[in-house]
This record gives sequence, C-alpha cells and structure tokens, in this order.
Amino acid sequence: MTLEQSLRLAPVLAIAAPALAFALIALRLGIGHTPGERWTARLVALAFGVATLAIAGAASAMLVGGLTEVHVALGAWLEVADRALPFELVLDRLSVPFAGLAAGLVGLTGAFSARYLHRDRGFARFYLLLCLFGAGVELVLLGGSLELVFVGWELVGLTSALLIAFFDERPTPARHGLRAFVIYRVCDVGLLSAAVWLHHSAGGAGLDASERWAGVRVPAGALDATLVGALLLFAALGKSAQIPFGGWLPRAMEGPTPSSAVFYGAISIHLGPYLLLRAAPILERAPLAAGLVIAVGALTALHATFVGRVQTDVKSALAYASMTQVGLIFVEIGLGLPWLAIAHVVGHASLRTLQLLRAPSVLHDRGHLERAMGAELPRAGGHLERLVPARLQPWLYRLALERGYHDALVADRVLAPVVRWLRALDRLEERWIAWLEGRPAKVAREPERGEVVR
Amino acid sequence: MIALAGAAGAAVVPLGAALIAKRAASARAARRVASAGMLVAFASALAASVATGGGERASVPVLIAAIGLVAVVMSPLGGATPRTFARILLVVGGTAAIVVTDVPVALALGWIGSIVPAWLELRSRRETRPSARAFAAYLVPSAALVTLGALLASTGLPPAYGLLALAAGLAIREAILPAHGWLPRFVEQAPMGLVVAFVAPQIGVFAHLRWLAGRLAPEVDLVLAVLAALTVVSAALLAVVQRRARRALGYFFVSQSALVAFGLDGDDVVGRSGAVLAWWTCGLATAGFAMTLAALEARRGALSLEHAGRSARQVPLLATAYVVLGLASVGLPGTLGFIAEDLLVSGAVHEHPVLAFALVVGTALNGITVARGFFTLFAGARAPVGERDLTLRERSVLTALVAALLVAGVWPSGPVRWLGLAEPPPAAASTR
Repeated sequence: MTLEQSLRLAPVLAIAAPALAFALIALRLGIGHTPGERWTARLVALAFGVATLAIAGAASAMLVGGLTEVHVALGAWLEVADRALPFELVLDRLSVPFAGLAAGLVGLTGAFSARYLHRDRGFARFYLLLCLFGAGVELVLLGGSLELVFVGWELVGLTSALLIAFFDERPTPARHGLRAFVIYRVCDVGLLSAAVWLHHSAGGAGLDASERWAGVRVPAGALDATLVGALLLFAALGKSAQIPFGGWLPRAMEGPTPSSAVFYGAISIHLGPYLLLRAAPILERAPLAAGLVIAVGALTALHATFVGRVQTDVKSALAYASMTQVGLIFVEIGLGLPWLAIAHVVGHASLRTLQLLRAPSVLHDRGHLERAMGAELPRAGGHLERLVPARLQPWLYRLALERGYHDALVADRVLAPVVRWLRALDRLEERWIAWLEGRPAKVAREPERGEVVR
Repeated sequence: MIALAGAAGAAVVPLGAALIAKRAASARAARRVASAGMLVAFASALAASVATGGGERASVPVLIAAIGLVAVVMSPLGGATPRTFARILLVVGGTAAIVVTDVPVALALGWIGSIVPAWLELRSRRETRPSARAFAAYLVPSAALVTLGALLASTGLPPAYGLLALAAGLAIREAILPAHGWLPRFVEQAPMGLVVAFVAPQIGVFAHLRWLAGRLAPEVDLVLAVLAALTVVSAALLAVVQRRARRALGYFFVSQSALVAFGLDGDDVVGRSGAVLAWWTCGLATAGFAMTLAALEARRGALSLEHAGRSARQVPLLATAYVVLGLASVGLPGTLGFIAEDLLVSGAVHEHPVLAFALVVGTALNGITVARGFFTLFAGARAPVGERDLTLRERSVLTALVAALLVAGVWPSGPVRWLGLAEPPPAAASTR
C-alpha cells in the first residue's frame, strides 16, 4: 500500500470502525437479541484498537513523508446548484494527536467498563452509545468542514445526554440528561449558524490549509470574522461547560463513571478548545472574539475553582476541577498560545480520565496509602484558605456551596420568567379557542413545579 | 400518463378502501382493510414514480401514500370505530386527489374533500364536538378562500386577487401565525391517525409550490417569510413549555410546518431544494413520531410532561423509534432532516439573514421539545412488568421509516436526484 493510500484509509477507518461496531450492536438489539458481554466488549475493543492504530499509522506515515497536512477528499456528500457538501477529512498536527488520543482513551475506557458494568442490564446500551460517541468524536476531529464537524458535534451531545440518563429508573439522571441536552442544543445553534454564515460571507465552511494546521476560512470583513468567532465561541461554551452554561457538568456525573471519565474528563469537554484551535485564524483576525474567549475562560476558571473547593463528593470536585482547567485552556487559546493549549489538553485529558476512573475506589486507595504509610494522610489543598480572613470564611463557604448563586440566577431570573410568560401566552390561546368552541373561556393557571400555592 | 395513474392510485384506492372499511365489523377489521388499501396505494404511487424516473411532482403521491400508510397501520384501536379508519382514508384520498390534476377547481374540491372527514370525526364524539366548531372556524374560511382563488383564476380575472386569496387560504391550512390556533387543539382532540393523515402531508406546501411559488409580489413574499419565521420560533417556544404531550406535539407541528413554508418562496435554488427536502423529511418523520406517541398513549393513557414517566426498559424499541423519528424531523445528523435543514438555512441566509437564524433557533427549540418528551416519558421511574413493546405490525412500518430516513441521510444525492432538486425549478402553473 502506498503512502498516499494509507493516508486516505486511516481517517476513514478511524471513523468507520466505531460506526460499524455501533451498527452491529444496534442491529442485534433491534432484532431483540441482546449481545453477550464478552462479544460486545471485544467488538468495541477491536473497533477502537483499529481506530487508534489507523491514526498512529497515519502519524508515522506523515512523519516519514515529512507531511504536516493531508486533505483526504472522498467526493461530494451532496451537490445542489452552487451549494456542495464535500466529504473531506483532514489529517494535520491538530487532528492527529487529538484523534489518536480520543480513540485510545475511549478504547481504554471501554476495556475498563467491561468489568465495571458487568451484569448491568444496560451493558449493551452503554457500549452502543460509547461507539456512537467514538464515531462522532472522530468525525469532529477529522472533519474537513464545519458541516461534518457539526454532524459529529451533535452525535457527541446526544450520546452524552443519553449516558447521563443511563440509570433511567431514577428521576434525577433523566432531569440532568435533559438539562445537558438543552444546553448542548442551544449552543449548537452557534456552530450551525457559523457554518451558514461562513458560506454566506467567505464562500464556504471548509478548512483551508495554513502554516500551522488547517483552519476555518476567514471572512474578508472584520465584522463577519468577529461574528463567526463569537458564534464558534458560543458553540464551545456548551460543550466545554463554560460560564454561563456550566451548570450541567457537575450534574452530568449521574451517569456511569466510565462515561463521566471519557466525556467530562477526557474528550467531550475538550471539543470546545479543539473548535477554537481550528478557528485560530479567525480569532487572530477578530481581537474582540479573542478577548471574549479570554474573559469567558478566566471567569469560568475562577468560578469553578472557588466552587470546586467545597464539594463533598469526589466526582463533583473533579467536575469543577475539569471546568477550571478547561477555562485556563480557553485563556491560553485567546492569548494566542495554541501549542501550550494542546499540551494542556493532552495532559489534562489523560490525568482526569485516570482520576475519574479511580474515583469509585478513592476511599480504598486512601486506606491503602494510609496503611502503607502507617499514618493518616496529611490534609492537602488548604493553602488558599489560610489567606482568607476567618470572619469571611463561613460566608465564602456558603457562597461556594451555593455555586455562587450562578445556577439559581440562571434558573430563577432568566428561565422562570420566560416560562411564566410563555405559559400566560398559551393560556390566552386556550381561552381564544375555548371561546370559539363555546366553552367557558376561563383557563386556570396551573402552579409551576415547586411553587407554593397559598 | 404513468405518473397520473400512480397519483390516481394513491387517491382512488384509499377512497375505495374507505367504503369497505366503513362497513367493517370492527375497528380491528377496518384497520386491516385500511392498511391493505394504503399498502396498495403506496405501491402504485411508488411504482409510477419509479417508472417515470421520479421528479418533484410525480413523487408527491408517494409521500402522501407513505404517510397514510403509517397513519393507518400505527393507529391504536382504543376509541376508534370503523368510521374513524374510513375517514382517515378519505382524508388521504382527498389529499392525493389534489395532486392529480392541474385544474384549479379540482384543487378546491380536493381541499374541501380532505377537510370534511376530519370535521365529521370531531363532530362524531360528544367530547370533541365543541372542537369541531373551532376547527370549522379556521378551515371553512381556508376552503372558501382557496375556492375563491381557484374560481378567480379560472375566470381569467387579474391573477393578483386570486393569488392573494389562495395564499391566505393556504396560510390558514399551514397554520401560519396568526391563523395557527386550530392545529394544537385539533392534535389534542382528534384520533392521532387522522391528525397525521390531515397534517403531516402538508398539502398546503404542495399547493403553494404548484400555484404560488414565484408568482407572488415580493412584498407578499416578504410578509409570508416574516410570518413563517415568527411562527417557527413562537410555536417552538410554546411547544417547549407545554405540560401535555399532545399539545406539545400540536405546537411542534405548527413550528415544523412553518419551517417548510418559509423556504418555498425564495428565489434561491438551494433554499427551495431545502424546503422540499424538509417537506419530505418533516412529513415522514413527524408522521412516525406522532404515531409512536400515539402508541405510547395507547399503552399508558394520557401523557403528561410534568411528572417523571417510566423507564424505557420494557419498551426499548418504542423509545428508540420515538427519539430517532423525533430528532430526524428536527435535523438529526445522519438523517435526511439534517441535509434539509442545512440547505434550507443556507438558501435563506442570502435573502433573509436574520430570519435564517430564526429558523436555526426554532429547530433547536423543537429538538429540545423532542428530548424533553423522551426524558420525561421514557425515564424517571421503574417500568411496570408487562408493558408491551412495539408489535410486529408497528415495528415493520417504523423500521422501514427509520431505515429510509437514515439511508437518505447518509446518501442524500439519491433522493435529491429522484426528486429532481438538482435541476432548476419548473415555472409555477398558469392559473389562467
């Protein structure tokens, strides 16, 4: 096989292998035959093994061939008049490390989960969603246009929400899954709108070759560039749980621990920074958008580290730690330090996956360490608290425990009035139709959830 | 000629089957007759379309027959009578009859023919009789305006008056703001099969493409586009906050219907192609989506979105069909809906940049409505043992529907070529 052929095959394999595994599991579930645990785990391991090897092979081939960027054109997905949706994948210095890391970490998480979810009734469902997530992530990372990125982006969001609600016999996971989906969906408006506006203002939403790595096409007008930059930032806010859309992340920990690790420690949460790194040429052209990226990242880092310090369960503490680090990565991107951001992402993803996967065993690990040391472990992480005056400490503790009133503000001051107003409008509609029907036109207002009726 | 035969098959077979279904001994027997009739109608429409090499016009009977097939096969028996199935078939037949001929008066007759059975069904039950009045309050003026428009067009008067009357009549049927009030109530009150047969084909879209596209004054086009965009967003917002699943579905229909209507009048080939694809996708996917909701309702009774439902573990296939079809109708990537949405918005952004963003927002909100329904209805508490998943009858039709949407989503060039969308649009029919 020639270098060119292997380079064409690698990204296709990285996407197709998990997609095929998804299709096979779905097919068996669809015909009412739940696949066995061993078969499922082996299939998924094989799929992500193939994906990892394909990307590793592509990386080696690029190194040997001295290539930094390869565009793999696989024909047109659709052509209508002057609008074409090309199916193009990109291998470059940004996508290759991310895609390799993602395939490897999802594969490892899959292997870990075989024991973690042993005899769980949702075993096959978990792997089904993990494969769809893997295919979606690879599409985001290797997609050569914002439309392809959007396809993967949506699949990642959907699988994330479905896995948060994995334990579907309890009400809380379902509520939290819905919350995550709502935020994803709202923020996805930014990505689709950016793609559409790029078609309008720059003639296409493909990734253009550049010195560093392939980047989103830059519109000629500064205003257009700022708008696209802001839209892409908006898309990244949801996926990466940045302020003001970060409330879903600690709640997302309701899902199985392996999925928390792979989504919110390793991959999904870093897709925001990935998108912004792809949009680096636009951020360079639009300083206002870059400034927004810095501001959002800094605010999130401050908020999350403040709130994370008082969390009493390990997964929530890790969730806020992830938010903090991703906020810092946003700042690095906004400041124009892409290589530092990449190193930060790779290091953070690896460490956080390990921490989240070990989270259920944290007490066991602690006991093991204490027995080995023959003494209680010293309390760590209290250095900042020492700087805070004692009188302020209870007040700040309460504020942090309430998450800085961030979630309450969004729910009570933004969403609740909108819902109340819309329901009033709906009652008006009902009264109008009741009048037409000749029924009593009085439509009573039903109390909102949690509202005290006097 | 072959295309005409196919379209006639899609119209005549359901009308014939309606006569037999009406005399059936039970609702179950009527459903069997109706299913067989719709299968024949679908096969004849598909065969005719394939024989003529497809094309936008020749393919419309396929869409109508497919939706009719989903509506009757998936219709629950609870509360239904043989007459219910006969009326569903009459609605399908009346709708298909509209596409058979180019004579304006036939449009008016088909229009009335599809409205009357739906009104009769509402009238037939004591509890829904008041709703028949509200239904008539909107749909009778719609029929009158369409008839007036058709008559004016036939008499050779200046076409502007006829076109305006037609546009107003179609806007009511398409439930464009402020003439949308009848639809949520109709969805709440009528049997779901009838709702799907009446609403999902969006025959207003066909009539719009056939008689109005490219012929309205630019000012009227703009007004319609603004109203459609407003409808998309406002109905999507109202759908999100509903407490009853059926009412949420009603507003969802309003929003999706306006989304399609938005793209019909643009000069842009891409946007128009997107609108036609969205018409097909919304029609098929929302038909399946609504019928899965009806199937769940048949198992659990009236569905509330206020309180946590039950786990999907007993009904995994029903839950999967619900979420896939629901999200397919709002542009889930991997289905044809995504391609349709992308083309629709891309086309719209050149002519109406702000309104194009409204479409994206409306679609996102509709996705939230679907997800809210899914997470509320299919999760939250342990499911009772014995809740039945999709039956073989339901599974067959939903599998075919989901497979069609997925295959078309992965390979959209096929349907685009079949519908003739890659070519420039034909001129609208002369109304003289």
